[in-house]
This record gives sequence, structure tokens and C-alpha cells, in this order.
Amino acid sequence: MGFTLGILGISFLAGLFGAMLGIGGGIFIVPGLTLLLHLPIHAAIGSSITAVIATSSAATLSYIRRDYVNVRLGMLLQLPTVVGAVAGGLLAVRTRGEILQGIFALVLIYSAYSMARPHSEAAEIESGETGGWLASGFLEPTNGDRVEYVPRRKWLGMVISSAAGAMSGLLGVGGGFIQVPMMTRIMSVPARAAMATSAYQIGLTGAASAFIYYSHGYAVPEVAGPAAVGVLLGAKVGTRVFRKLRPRTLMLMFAALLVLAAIRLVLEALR
Amino acid sequence: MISRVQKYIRAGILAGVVPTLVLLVIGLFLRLASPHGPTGHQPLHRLAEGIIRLEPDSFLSLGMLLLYMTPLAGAASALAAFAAEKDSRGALLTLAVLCVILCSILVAKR
Repeated sequence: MGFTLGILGISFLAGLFGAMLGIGGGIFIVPGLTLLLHLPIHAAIGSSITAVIATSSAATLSYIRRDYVNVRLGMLLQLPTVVGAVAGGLLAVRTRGEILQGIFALVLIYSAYSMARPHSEAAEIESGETGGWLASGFLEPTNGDRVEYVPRRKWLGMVISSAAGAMSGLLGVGGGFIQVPMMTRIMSVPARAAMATSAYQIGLTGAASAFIYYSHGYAVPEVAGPAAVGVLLGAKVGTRVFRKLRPRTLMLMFAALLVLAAIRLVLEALR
Repeated sequence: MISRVQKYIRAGILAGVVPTLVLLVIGLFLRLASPHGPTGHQPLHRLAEGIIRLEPDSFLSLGMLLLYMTPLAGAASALAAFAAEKDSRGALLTLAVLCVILCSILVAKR
């Protein structure tokens, strides 16, 4: 019972902080389960991928109702992403835990850097431009204006998406930390649409590698089940309570926490 | 105003999320109430038997498998909507994505 409550608690906090910081909970679940509950990293990744699919499904239900998800763009980028995810998943189940811990530590440091740096402006958005198969638009809730956009540099987006998929399959994280900046900065997609489209994609990306983890016995029900429920509850609370709250000091604190987790993961891997 | 594709995806995901949550929550309560330790990874052929015996890990496993199928249900619904709208590019892309994921299931089963 204590073990199950421990997983629920860690995943609840992961969902809460993930929603609060807008980065998804996967980045917190793997170090939480590995460092605090001493689970093998493969089992932590299998549980994280399950939790990631749960949060993606819940987020998609909300975003798609508000018309933020660009389904065509999502499907275009999804093809290379799932190919990368399957490759990453197959590679992960054949890779030693220490090596995965090392790679995860690098991703944590990158995430910490992304959180800590001042947000640069996205590439200029050709607002009002219409036409084309990928063109889309939505009502901006802050001012009620209709935002129209046409994604650019599709091929580069597809190449980078395959790398995001590989990272997701290999490490059990959503991949949004690569996809969202790529869509906003390279493809000129508005941030709101990029986040929603990425949230939709993450579910399919996770599903592509989840079956691989499950069949190898790394998505353990007594860990992954509570993790999925905990992260959903945490994300729900986090989204409601902290919808507009993204204080800079909090971001810096979590960035420091991720760096500490990365150092501990490396130290444990070297033991 | 959301499109037909978006409506279909939402319906597909909702159809997966609701039973998934029910199974996971039942499994979680049974696990918290159970004096027995975990039974570990559940093979597919044991799931029905375990559910009849109210084994928590069978509920959790079935919930997890349904959860993994949920995004696929969303994509399958999108495929139907693209086909209904005669959007061949969208339908082909979605079909290709589903094929890759189905291949990963076949590879995983080996």
C-alpha cells in the first residue's frame, strides 16, 4: 500500500508541476520513480510513457473542443515521429539502464536550460495568411481575435519530429520539449496551436512505443496504473490552479531541481 | 466551430478514456485494499480470468492496454472523417501512421 501511495504521490506532483510549467509530467516521473522509489529505469520509462498517453488524451479532449489542434499538421509530423518512437522504443529495451540514465540526465539538463532562459520570440507569424492544406486558425481567448496561420518549412519540421519521436520512445518523455519550440520557431505556428497539436501528437507517439515496453514487461501494472491516475489528477489540479501562473522564480527553482536530478542520475549510473 | 475531423477524434478518444479511467480506478482501489503483493506483468490470456477473480493488476493491465489503444481510436476516427470529407491526403497520412503503430504492435509481440 505504501508503495502504491508513493507512486500516486510522485505522479500527482509530476502532473501538477508539469501542468504548472507547461512541460508535461514525463520529465519528472522518470527521475522521481528512479531516485525516490529506486525502480529500474526501464520500468520507470514504461510507467512514464503510460502516464504521458493519459495526459495527452485528457489534454486533447480539452484542446480539440477549443479548435486549437491542427489535425492535418499533427498527422503530417506524426508519421516521422512514430517511426522515430518505434525505433527509440526498440533501442531502449536493448540498452543498458546506466546508458539510459546518462542520456536522460542530458535531456534533464536541456529541459532545465529551456526553463531557465528568457523566452525568445517565436519566428514571425504570417497572421492573416490563408490557404494551403495545412492552413488553420483559432479564436485567441485573451482578445477574441481570430488567428490564421500557415505552417512553414514542413520538411525540416518532419526531420526534427523524427528525433523527437526517438527521444520519446527511448526515454518515455512526451517529446513536446522538442516539438513545441520547433513548431513555433521553425514552422511559424502560434504557441497555443503548437502546444495543442503537440499534446495531441504525444498520445500517438507514446502508443507507438508503449506496446514494446508492455510486451517486454517494463510497463508494470502496479506502477504504470497508479502513475497514469496520479498524473491525470495532478494535471487537472495544476491546470485549474495555475492556469495563468508561471512565475520566473518558480521556473528557476525547478530548473535547479532538474539539474540536481540529472547529477544524481549520473552518479547512480556510475556506481 | 470545430470540424468533422475534430469531432470524430474527440469521440474516439472519449470512447477510450472513460472505460480506461473506470478500470484504472477500480484496479487502484483494489490494490490499495488488497493485502497481497503485486502479481506483476499480466499476459493477455490471463486478464479475463484475473478480472473475474478481482485481481487488481488485471484491472490495471486492461486499463493500460485500453489507454494505449485510445490514441489509435482517435486516429481511426480521424481516418473515417478524412475519408468522409474525401480528403485523400489526410486519409493516406493517417492510414500510414496507423500502419506504423500496428507494425510496432506486431514487432512487440515477437
